[in-house]
Amino acid sequence: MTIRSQKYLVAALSLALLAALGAVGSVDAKRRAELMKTRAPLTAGALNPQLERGKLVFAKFGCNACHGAGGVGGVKNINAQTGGEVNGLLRVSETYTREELVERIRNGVPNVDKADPTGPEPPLHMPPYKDLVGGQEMQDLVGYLMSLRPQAGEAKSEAW
Amino acid sequence: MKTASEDGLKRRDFLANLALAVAGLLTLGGFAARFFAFLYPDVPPEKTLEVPVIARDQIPANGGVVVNLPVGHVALIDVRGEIRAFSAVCTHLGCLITWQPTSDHVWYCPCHKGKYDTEGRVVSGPPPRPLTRYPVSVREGRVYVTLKVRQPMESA
Amino acid sequence: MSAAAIRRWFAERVPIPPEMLRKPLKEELPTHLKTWLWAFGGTPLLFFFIQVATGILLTFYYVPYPLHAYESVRQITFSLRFGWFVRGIHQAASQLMFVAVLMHMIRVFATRAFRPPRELTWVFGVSLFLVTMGFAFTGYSLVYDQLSYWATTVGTNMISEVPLLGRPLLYLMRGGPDVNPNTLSRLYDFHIGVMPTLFVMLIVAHIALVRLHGVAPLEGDSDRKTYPFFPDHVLREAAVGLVLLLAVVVYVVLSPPGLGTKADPNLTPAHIRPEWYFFPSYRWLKMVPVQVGLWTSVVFVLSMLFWPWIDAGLERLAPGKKLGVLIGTAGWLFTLCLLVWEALS
Repeated sequence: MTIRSQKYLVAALSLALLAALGAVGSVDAKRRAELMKTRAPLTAGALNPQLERGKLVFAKFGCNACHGAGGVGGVKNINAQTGGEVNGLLRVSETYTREELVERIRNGVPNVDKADPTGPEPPLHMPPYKDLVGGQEMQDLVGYLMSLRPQAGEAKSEAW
Repeated sequence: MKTASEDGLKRRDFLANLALAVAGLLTLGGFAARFFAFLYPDVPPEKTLEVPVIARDQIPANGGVVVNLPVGHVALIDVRGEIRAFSAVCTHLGCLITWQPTSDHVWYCPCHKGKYDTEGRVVSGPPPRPLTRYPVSVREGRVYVTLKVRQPMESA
Repeated sequence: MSAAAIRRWFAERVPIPPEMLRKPLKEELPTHLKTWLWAFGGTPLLFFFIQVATGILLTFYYVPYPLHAYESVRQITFSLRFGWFVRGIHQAASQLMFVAVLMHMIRVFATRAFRPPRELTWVFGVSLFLVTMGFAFTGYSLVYDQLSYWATTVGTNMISEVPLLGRPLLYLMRGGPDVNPNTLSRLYDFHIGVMPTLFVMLIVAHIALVRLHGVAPLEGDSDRKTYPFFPDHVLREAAVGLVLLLAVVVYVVLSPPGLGTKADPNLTPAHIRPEWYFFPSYRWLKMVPVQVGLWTSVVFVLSMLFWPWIDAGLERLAPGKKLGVLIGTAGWLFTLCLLVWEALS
């Protein structure tokens, strides 16, 4: 092969590579189109990572074990004044300020009021969390709790 | 004296070199374009959104507070009951302003000592423009501010 | 401003004697280099440049901390513009680089180009091969999916089998007794810092020696025909390089990279295997006790490194019997058998 034809060969191979790069472009465009379809729309709710962090703190310290997943309640606490169950948390934003919530979480509830004064002591009570939760985690947890809302038409356990 | 065939030879050589150079440069350019697109950040589009920022009762009467959200920083002030919202980003070089109520100004930027009043106007210092003002709406004890926001950049 | 004036401006400020510039370009190469068999010398270098370029691009997004690492690789592979392309090339070119280095090694071995005075060139070459394996091992560990994590755990565990130094070496490599966040940082630094530096030093030494000695003449070849390095050989290498690049790009387009499940330090997956280039050692270590496996591997590597002297010794032992070629080829074939056996099981 002469030098000249070798140069044309290299040039042709270059152009083949260029064509391949073009294909790369269209493949990428297709992938991005698919990706955009599954991207969540931007809403005000989507913008608050503090709620996500708060949710994690709620799970981390096992709050759902007594207060139900997402604070929905339903966990039995025999003879407790709150309908025989551990109270749910969906209405705390209506009855507590943030500072009151912080105090309650820190100190816990050592004595649970009895529905029937002659009946047994309710087995579950809230322990103090002051040595476990503080600082940013407390802020995130309280922020999350204040954001909880009962579903429309739901008559879950009452807050107290 | 150059013969006709010598001229032809030179021209054919020149064409071969030209083809090589053009093809080579175009291909290099192709790679460069792909790699540059890879590096250039995927900036999400801006959207105007009404965002809940803070509970009404957390703004002290005739006081001010700066709220830091993942999508922006908002400076809120209560002026005789009216809530005003501004961008808390100093218009000079991007530092965050702080609440500093004095006789002539209420917002202070520590970086270059910029000062703003209750309407966001520059009282003194290097800031070139007043603070960006945002529409506010107070509903059910919550303060909503209409902001131009972007989704935070995606990262690992 | 004429071309001559620009050239003069440069020549005054960068005073390289013009003969020194022209000499490597004018170098006459023996015509036996014109066959495709001799195309494998430049290809590892081409792939190294591709790896450096794509590797640097990847470092803009990769995060060397557990779990973040996986997320960043996921982001690159599925979210970023052309991320799949950059990562795909990096993966595919790493495999091809291995093949290219092996083919080059086999060619040099078969033509006995390591004969005196070119023994050092061979030593640097084998060292480059070992560093390439190091790149492959450390690179694979950075993905932090299940296979990657456990391959790293098993691979680094091998080091602890070395007597006396084994444990300190293991701790040094892992940044602790177990695989922990420090391990990932260390392997990352080996991959992007230590090994590239080593590789560059070795390749400069290797290529300098090749240029200084000139291309090894073929044994028994008295035909002295030559052809110039520039532009003939350069164009030849460019053509080969472009074909390989084209193959890589087409492959990545047709088969984009994927990602396994996130690494779980509490769950070893049922089917765990290293990458194909480690199959021979993997198979061998499954067949023999660990200490035997370790020491035979060491002997194997040392015999590769010092092959020119072993070959010369064998030649003195049995002149003309080509014992070196026989034993060496047996070694290659044995390794190949182990590879195929592991691949098929």
